[in-house]
Amino acid sequence: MKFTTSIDTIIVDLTLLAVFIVFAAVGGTYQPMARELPLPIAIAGCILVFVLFLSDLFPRLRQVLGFVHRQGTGSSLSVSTAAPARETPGLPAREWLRLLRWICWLTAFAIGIQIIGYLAASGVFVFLVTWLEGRMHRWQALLSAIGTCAFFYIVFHLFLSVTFT
Amino acid sequence: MFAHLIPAVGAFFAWPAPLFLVIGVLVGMLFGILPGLGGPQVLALLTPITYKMDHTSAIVMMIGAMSAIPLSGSLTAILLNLPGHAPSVASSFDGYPLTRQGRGGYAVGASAMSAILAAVIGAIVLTLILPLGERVVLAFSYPEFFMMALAGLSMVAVISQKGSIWKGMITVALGLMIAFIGSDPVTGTVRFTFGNLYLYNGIDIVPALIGLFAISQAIDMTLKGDRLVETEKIGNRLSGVWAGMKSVFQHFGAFFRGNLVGTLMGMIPGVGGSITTIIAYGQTVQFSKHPERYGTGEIGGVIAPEAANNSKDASGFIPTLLFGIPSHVEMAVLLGTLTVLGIDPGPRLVQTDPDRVLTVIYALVAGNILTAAIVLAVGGYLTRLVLVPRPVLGPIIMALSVVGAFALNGLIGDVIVALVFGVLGFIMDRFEFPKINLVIPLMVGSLMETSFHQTLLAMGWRGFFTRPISVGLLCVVLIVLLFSIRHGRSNKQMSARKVDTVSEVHNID
Repeated sequence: MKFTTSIDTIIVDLTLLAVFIVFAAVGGTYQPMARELPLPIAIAGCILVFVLFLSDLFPRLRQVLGFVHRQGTGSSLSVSTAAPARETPGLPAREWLRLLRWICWLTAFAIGIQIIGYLAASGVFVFLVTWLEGRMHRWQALLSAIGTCAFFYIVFHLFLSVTFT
Repeated sequence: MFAHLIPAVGAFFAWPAPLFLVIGVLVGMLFGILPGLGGPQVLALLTPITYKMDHTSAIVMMIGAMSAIPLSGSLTAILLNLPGHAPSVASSFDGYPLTRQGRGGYAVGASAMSAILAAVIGAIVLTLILPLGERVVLAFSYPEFFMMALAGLSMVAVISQKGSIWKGMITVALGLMIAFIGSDPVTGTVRFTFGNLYLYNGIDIVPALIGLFAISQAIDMTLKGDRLVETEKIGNRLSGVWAGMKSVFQHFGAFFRGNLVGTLMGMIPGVGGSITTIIAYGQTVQFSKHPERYGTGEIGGVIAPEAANNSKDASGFIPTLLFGIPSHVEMAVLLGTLTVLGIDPGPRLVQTDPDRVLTVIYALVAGNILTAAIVLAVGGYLTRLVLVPRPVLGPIIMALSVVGAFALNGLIGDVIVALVFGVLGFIMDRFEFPKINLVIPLMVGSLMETSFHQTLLAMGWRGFFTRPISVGLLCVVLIVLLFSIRHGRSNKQMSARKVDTVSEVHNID
């Protein structure tokens, strides 16, 4: 079987490697007792990710690093691996962009909560997202926004009496 | 605990707990029916709502929602061949062929009766085991708790329902590192906060769970777009349910095997519902006198996975309540809720708060009975819920997730944690890193580190290797790891193997 690896798989591996390296480097600076567990685990994480990265980067190493791609005991029975083994396909560029757009929406929503309060921000968010992203009719979007606001008001304001600071 | 059996009934039925049971069941059914959503999502979204409620009502609502998921997920699996949640897949193998034969009501009746019986038997087993388990756990000291956590983590890493064992181990390591963020429990050293005040107390588990399960799933739903299902030929009245209910007693062997598999598998951390139901189905086919009938509409193929799916929840409470180690994802989220409510699961819970434990057990039974009653009465019509368009549902779930995370403490930091974990969960799904492997270390990381340090301070390194239970648990860890090396399936084996699993026989993709 010919193996191919998508570029985003490599990026995910590298990101994970960077995270573990940071954990290991920072963990090494703490006093012995505070780093007794975090440091070995961070180093182990670095090694695990590095081997995964090597096997993803150089598909020819698959024969040598076969253990990296051994499936879990459960996955031989679960639905997700019913299909023959294949490479992780990663995300197409278009989907990465859509994900990025969603991150922007959610960040705007979080900022909106801070500025105009949770109730108004929720209504605006649901309306805009349903209308612009979901491409639903404006009236449908408005209806679902009003419904959401009413539900939040009843649950968080009347029922829970939550005070958002 | 047995002395509290009757008095706890009164507490369980005290107003407004029954109302919250109904609310929990209805919300749970909604999430169970909608494909892509399920137990972890509903529990993560309900958690922020519970924190101002009285404990009994909160627990009852959460357990009600959890108990409604399996049966309502199976409803759409049987009637539409569209499993509401992953473990219900096995119910569609024979349930949907029965529906195509015009016997959908019969299959749903069998499914509901299996759920009720499994819940009742599971509750009895739980009531009997918890006090016994408590005695065992009271013999535990620091090294045993450390080894128990280690054994749980090694099982989770090795079992990995998704992706490779290697990725499972990486995710466990990442989960532990995230759990170490904040003050060290023994020395008080502040770690990995990078000067951020919010992180001083560590990552709050509830926003993390909301992000991992609710936000990531909502992003996934909105990216997919369109309706959950494109069929309009749904929403009919069910007939033949009574005969279906009686069929469970006529096929008690299938029920018993399913129940046994569910009870045993439910206790093992990381196993999860999908594997449990498929093993239960496989066992039933194997022991049947007519295995060739399975897949064509054999009622035993509905009864066994349903029994397994419902009994795993009851037995899953054993490690969760006794050790604070969640057995599967729903239990992990539930554990987070209990923490929010100030309830500390562990060996002393059964001793100090038996009423609370019995409330959990009663809610499990009552939730299943109520769900079954609703499914039997209006199940056919409830399937219309799958017509809800994803573009409407996704933003509402996102808004509820973000506001829910914010409502916990009124901190924008919680919202950021939820968003970060939401994106992380989405990427983990796409790149086949198992989410359960991140959640369980997040839950047990603190217990693990505290018991590790306490062992070293009180007994030194010898503490781990001189106590019989600790050594026994260490052997379990080694056996699990050795087993994974010997039995993990390589890519070559995976691609070359013949069609031999139940899921492949039924062409699931």
